[in-house]
Amino acid sequence: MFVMSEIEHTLRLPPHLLNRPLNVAIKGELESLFLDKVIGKLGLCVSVYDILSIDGGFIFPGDGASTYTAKFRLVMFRPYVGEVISARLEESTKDGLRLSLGFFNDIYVPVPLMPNPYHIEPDPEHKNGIKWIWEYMGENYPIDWTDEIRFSVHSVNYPPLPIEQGKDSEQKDSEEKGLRQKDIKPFAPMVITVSQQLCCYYGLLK
Amino acid sequence: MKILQSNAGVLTNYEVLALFRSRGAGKDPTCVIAAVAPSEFKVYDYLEQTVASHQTIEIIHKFVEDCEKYDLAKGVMLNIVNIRPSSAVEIDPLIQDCD
Repeated sequence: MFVMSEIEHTLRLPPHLLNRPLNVAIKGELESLFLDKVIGKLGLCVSVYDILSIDGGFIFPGDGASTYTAKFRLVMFRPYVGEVISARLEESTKDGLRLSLGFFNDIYVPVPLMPNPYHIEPDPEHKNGIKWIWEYMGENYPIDWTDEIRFSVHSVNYPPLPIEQGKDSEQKDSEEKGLRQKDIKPFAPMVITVSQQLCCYYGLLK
Repeated sequence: MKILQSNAGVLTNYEVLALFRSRGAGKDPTCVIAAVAPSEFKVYDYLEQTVASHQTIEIIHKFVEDCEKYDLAKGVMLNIVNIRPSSAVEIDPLIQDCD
C-alpha cells in the first residue's frame, strides 16, 4: 500500500523560520508543501520519511529568504494492481459502491466488477441509495454499512486537472502537484477502481 | 520538483505504523503535541485497526524467511503480511494457482 519515493525539490525558506534548526525548518516546509497532496503518478503523500541532503542556502537579490535544494524521501500511498486492502463502505448507489479508508475516500467499485450474481433493492435509509445483495450457493449476503469490505485493486487513475474559465488564478498554484480544487462537483485527483471478487469469500466467514 | 526515484522501496503497513509510533502518535490522545500532522493521524487511525498494530519486525522477518521455499512473488507476500489471512478461504484469492 505504501511506497517510498525519492524527490528533489528547490524550496524557499521563509525568513521567520530562521531561528529554527535547518533540518526542522526544511522538514516543516516540506510537510506543508507535500502532505496530504496527490503527486501525479506517485500517489498520495502520507508523510516525509527523511531528508537525505540539503544544498544551497543562496539568497537571491531582492529576496529576504534563502533557497535550498533538498533531497528527501516521502511515504506515498500508492497501491499496486492486485493488492488486497480492506475498507469501509461509504456510499452505495446504482453505479456501484464507493469505499473509504479514512484518509482516502475515492475508491470505486463499478457495477461490472461487483461480485456476480447479485440483485439490488432500494435502500430506505439513504436517499438515492441502493442496497447490493450478493447471492452465493442459495444464500443472500447483503453488503452492509457495518461490513469490512476486502477488495483487490483493479486500476489506479490520476485524472487530469479540470481546466475551467474563471479559475485561472488557481491554476498557477496547482500545476505539477495535482492539488485538490474546490469545484461544484468534488474533483478527485486520484481514483482507485477495485474489483470486489474477494468480498465473496468474506461473506462466507460470517 | 524532480522525481529521482519513484519507487525507492515498498513499505509494509507495519513499517509505516512504526514510523508514526516513533514520532509519538500513539501516546497523545489529544493529537496536538506529537510531531504528527492531522492527515497523518488519519492514516495512523486506519493502520491501528488493521492487523499491523499487532505485528513486530521479528515476526515479519521470520515470515519472509519461512516463505522462501515457496517462491512467492513479492506482491503476494506483501498482501499476506498486510492482511494476515487466517483460513484457506482468505488465502485463495491472494495467490494464483493455489494448491
